[in-house]
Amino acid sequence: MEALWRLEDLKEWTRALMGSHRVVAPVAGPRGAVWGEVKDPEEILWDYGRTVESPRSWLIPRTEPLFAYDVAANPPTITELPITAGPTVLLLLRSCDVAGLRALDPVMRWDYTDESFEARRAATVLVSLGCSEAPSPDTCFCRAVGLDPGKADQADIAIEAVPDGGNMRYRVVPLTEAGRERLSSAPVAPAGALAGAGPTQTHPVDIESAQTHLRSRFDDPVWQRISEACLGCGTCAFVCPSCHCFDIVDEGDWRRGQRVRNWDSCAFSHFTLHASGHNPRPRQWNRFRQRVYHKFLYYPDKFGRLLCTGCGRCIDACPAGMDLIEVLEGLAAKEGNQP
Amino acid sequence: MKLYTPSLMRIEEVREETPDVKTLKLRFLEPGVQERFQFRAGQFGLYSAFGEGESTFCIASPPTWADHIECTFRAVGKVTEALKHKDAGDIIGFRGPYGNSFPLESFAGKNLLFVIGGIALPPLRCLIWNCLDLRDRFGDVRIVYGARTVADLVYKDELAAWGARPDVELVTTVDPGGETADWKGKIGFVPTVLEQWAPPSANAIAFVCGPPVMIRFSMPALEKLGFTPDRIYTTLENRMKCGIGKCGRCSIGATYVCKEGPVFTAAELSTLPMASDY
Repeated sequence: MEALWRLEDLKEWTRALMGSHRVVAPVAGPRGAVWGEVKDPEEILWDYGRTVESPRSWLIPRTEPLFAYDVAANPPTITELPITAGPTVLLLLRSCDVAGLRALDPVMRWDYTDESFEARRAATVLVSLGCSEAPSPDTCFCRAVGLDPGKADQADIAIEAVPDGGNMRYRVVPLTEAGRERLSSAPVAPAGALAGAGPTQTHPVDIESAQTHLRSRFDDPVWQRISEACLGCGTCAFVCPSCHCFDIVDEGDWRRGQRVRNWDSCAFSHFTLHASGHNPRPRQWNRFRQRVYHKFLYYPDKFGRLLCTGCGRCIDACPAGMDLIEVLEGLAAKEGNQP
Repeated sequence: MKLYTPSLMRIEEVREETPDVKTLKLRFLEPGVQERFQFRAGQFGLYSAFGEGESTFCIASPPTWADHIECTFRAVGKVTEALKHKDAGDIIGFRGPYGNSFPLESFAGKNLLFVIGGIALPPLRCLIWNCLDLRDRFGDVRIVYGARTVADLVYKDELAAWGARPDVELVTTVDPGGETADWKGKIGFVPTVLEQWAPPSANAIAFVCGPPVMIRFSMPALEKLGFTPDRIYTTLENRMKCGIGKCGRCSIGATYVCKEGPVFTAAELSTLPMASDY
């Protein structure tokens, strides 16, 4: 019979990992769980719902210096800045977050490989924790986008919690070689396979019908109504596990300074604004439509999967009550197949 | 990170094309880089004015001029204003070449028609010179170029040189009211002048670049002349940050202008959601 781990075993394993890895896990924040580097397994929220923000910043930092320049020097110089990518374990990721991190791969790798993303990705081991219930039943819709909340297929190690009387036990399964390595000195042998989430339900959405509508009705005037509440604040992009658009700016003056890459959002009017004043997406509804099209049609057409993992954070975080599920259901309903 | 790190270039020469348009002649600072640098007509680069950031322009000189590259820009934003104030000897940054290019080989033996408005001459000037430097590979070369006023015409010396060549037919025009007392060219909008001129479309490829309104009216004019959408090329510009298909802002539908463009045929453009704002 396979051995299930106790919480104490998980903590012991994590403590051992800390000797050689930076461990990033859910910890208590002012408004709920957040991702943080932990030095002591006791800080970790082993039983949590969903973090307020996605773990994306650990692979693509909010702000990242690219190089320093000194044009006033003789000779003028550009100094590449070292990429920070120490061995890291992202611990207790949900299925939606694992899928979000992996959705960055095709963009960061097609043709030109983004070196700092690649370095951090290679140095980071993803350890998932299956959801035995939807952390946010009204806004979680990962099943609708094809994920299993109980099984994160693309993680390196998957953990699922198994209730055992009053206690919780854990089934720990390596899914990749990197995962197997990290478990080689674990206090308990890993298991062979996950059981999966079973009946865990998330909000149903008919994504296929919504996509049919997107493909056939780009000019549907409904976008103006759908987008009326949108403030263009970009919060949805900043909490999203799969958004990846960025800005590049200089900090310094004409003599010396550094060039920095920062997170950006298609919700901002500046995003596509030409210096001439022309803006191909002049109104907020053009920009919100772009967001939905990118996630559910453009990226899938290009890379063969959705750019939304159904985590629902954008719905919970929107200060104006924009609801992606409602938007998708509305589009699907226009195709006559109400979920 | 190497991917976003520009090479340093020294400004060899600054030419004032119009009161707000300048051309910079550039050479790579690091020895040997200029000699190794290769690109194709239609490709673009990101030019750094350090402290202000990067701007995207085509490489305005042809690959047949190996000892330097040129860029031509209108001073309209932060970076271009900063570049406008640079002098010969100053240092700027360059990343590239990026994007696709004109399939020059497939134009062999064809007649070439260039339809150009205003500041859109630089991206096609690269191709025009590329073809003129390999003149015997192509058929007739015809150019119609217009600007709002005589002062807004760029590369005035080169326009004079092209006009004087027996193997180039050049028509220049300015918008009504934009002429001067001694203006010898046409007066009228580019699409209208094109229709009146009616260059033949047999065995010909058309290249159109200009402000959106000029393109909108030139396309039907070209189709009336017999140019099918697969024989009309244009080159697009959109705001870019990375130039390599990552930052997400230049895309039109699923197409990244920076990687799958900037050169498109009218047939390809018709598949993009560009009918309205996108």
